[in-house]
Amino acid sequence: MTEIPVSLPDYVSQLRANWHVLSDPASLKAAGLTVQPATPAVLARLPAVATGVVAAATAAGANPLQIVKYAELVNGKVAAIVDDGSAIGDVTLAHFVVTVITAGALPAATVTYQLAARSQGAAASSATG
Amino acid sequence: MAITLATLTATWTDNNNIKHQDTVSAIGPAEVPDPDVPVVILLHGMGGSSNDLSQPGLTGFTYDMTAPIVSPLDLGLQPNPGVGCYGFSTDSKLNPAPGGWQPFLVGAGYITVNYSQIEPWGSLAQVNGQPSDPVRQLDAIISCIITTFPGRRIAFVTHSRGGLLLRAWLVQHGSDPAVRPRLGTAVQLAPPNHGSELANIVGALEVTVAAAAAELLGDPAAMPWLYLLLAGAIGDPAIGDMTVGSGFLTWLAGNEPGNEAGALLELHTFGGTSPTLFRWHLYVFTPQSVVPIITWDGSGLVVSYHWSAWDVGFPVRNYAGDVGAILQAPPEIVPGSGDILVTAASAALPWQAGYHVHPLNHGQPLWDPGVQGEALPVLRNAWGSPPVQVAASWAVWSQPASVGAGTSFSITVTVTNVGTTTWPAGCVAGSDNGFGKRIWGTATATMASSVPRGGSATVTLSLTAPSSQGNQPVSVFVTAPGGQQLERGQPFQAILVVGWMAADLTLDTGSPAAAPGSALTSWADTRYQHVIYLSPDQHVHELYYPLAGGTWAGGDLTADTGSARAARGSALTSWADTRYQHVIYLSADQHVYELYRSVG
Repeated sequence: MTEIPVSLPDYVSQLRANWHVLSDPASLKAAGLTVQPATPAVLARLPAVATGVVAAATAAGANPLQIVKYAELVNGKVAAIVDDGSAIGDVTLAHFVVTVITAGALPAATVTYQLAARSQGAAASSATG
Repeated sequence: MAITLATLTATWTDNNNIKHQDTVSAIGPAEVPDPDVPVVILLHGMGGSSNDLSQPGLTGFTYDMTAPIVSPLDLGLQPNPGVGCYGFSTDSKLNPAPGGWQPFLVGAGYITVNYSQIEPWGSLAQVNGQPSDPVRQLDAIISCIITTFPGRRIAFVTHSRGGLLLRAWLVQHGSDPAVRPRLGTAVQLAPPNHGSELANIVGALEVTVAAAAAELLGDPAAMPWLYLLLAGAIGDPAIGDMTVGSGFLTWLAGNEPGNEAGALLELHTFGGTSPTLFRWHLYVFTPQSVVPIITWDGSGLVVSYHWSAWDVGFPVRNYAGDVGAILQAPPEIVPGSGDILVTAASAALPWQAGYHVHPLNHGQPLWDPGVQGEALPVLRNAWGSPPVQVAASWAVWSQPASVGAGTSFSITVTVTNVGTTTWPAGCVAGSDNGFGKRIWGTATATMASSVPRGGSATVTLSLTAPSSQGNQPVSVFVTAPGGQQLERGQPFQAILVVGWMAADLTLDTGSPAAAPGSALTSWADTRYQHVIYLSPDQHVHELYYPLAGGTWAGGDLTADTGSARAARGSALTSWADTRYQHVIYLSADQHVYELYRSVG
């Protein structure tokens, strides 16, 4: 039996491309969205599923990862954005996608969290991408 | 272009004495100038119809299992993320639907007769010693073909149970003088010649399919139709016929004229070894299906997800075969062994001219081009007009099932002139082994009168069994007065030649039974062999047989001589000298008594 391989899109490239769109002031304004800064108070209010995923991804003995970019996508719409304004191409950023299906059925209630996190104490570095 | 070359009207009477009139079309190419092109009769399988061999797409079997599997499957942009199982499917059907045997054969220049059998779920077994209705129907159609297409040979393409129908007809009608010269070749597709464990298959499918359906859908009602079809039919007579060791199959094998059947028909069997009816495709979302794609469309932000799914197959993709590894599955559903319903081994017959095995399921031979291509040369062998036999005989006789080695017996033979000329007076009938060897002796019988074309003569032939034990062939030939042996039409038959044989001397002679535990003694003199025993009334009885031939007879020696009765449990002894034969026994008062008589 023959199988036809199909190439899949690059995962990180797509997420970076999303951040380009989500950091465009004109687009955000037109969409009626306000970007919240990544302050401790804001970060403390993020959903546990998002922060938990990032915490779980921290390697043993390493500095904890801290969310610096956060987008909440509810049923196909951008609902909230948190961004520390760091460079999108920063190679020290770790990118995450968390999907929660709350109603157990598609497409009733799905929430996707797109996250970027950086190890606390790590310096941002720029990279293309 | 296929056209109707003739409309056959077959009239026949069923086992309930109801008359039937079937109208069947002979389909062929617009022009059939070659008189050697045979007529191919197509016989469908259990529960089927003529569509099986003309439009197999209607059977529901025609899954496309050759299409490459695309994995991951691109499911396009969607408004929500894709997580977990996307869904499952089976292979799609072949598109366009495959062509069946009838259009294939017509395209190859053959004349075809395809019809829907009566009682496709019924039994093929004889009814009160008479052919079953499907056999009667087939025989009527063949008679029409012989009349409508004089000079053309007849070939067969059968599927599944259709192969058993052909064999049942062959046993009961294949040797008919009008039919035999017209028979050519036969292609049996997936024939259950040695039966099928259909009940066990249904059981295995029940477990497997129920598990699969429950796992996928939580709904056992989603079982594939194959299981439902078989489960619903398990009590039908056709299933009973095809069960391994059934009475019908035993009868068929016992009455099939062995290797001689191969002389009636050049048979090629095709077995299948793939129990895969279709492939299951279980699709699981790739991780990329949850990656959002955020774009600006000029008026707002649009979030979408590019769904893709891997085809991970399914544990029951080869569902019947996989269960074979778990259960004691019948070989019919084990990969490499069976085609779901029949094993490849079950297709083979000892008298076949060719045996072909393909990795196909039970339905695929109905349209598989590889099988069709392999069968075409077989059918090509059926081309050619039957030879005109100027002088030919057809003999019918009854014979003992077994005879003792070296013993003599006689058979009454009716020989029929099936040639085109009259036999002159003085023709001689004799016997041989079918190949010219006179193993039954050289005795002959002369026909005093001439025998016209179609006429018969009855003669008695004396035979002496050969010394070689086992099944020995016997055939009857006719020799013209000039010594030329005529073409003979009938197949040889077999008689079992045995060493020791058994006879019930008490029954044969009408003598009283022996007393329980009676002693026995015996001797042979120059003219007779003798056996002595005691009856329950303590008489001494003799059974004797003339060495020159004849029958066993008995006598009460106590009554004949008026001597004392023997004691219960008396021993017996006997001997013969040159002048007298003697029997000794003990009487109740413990006297030793002698009975004696002169030899002869």
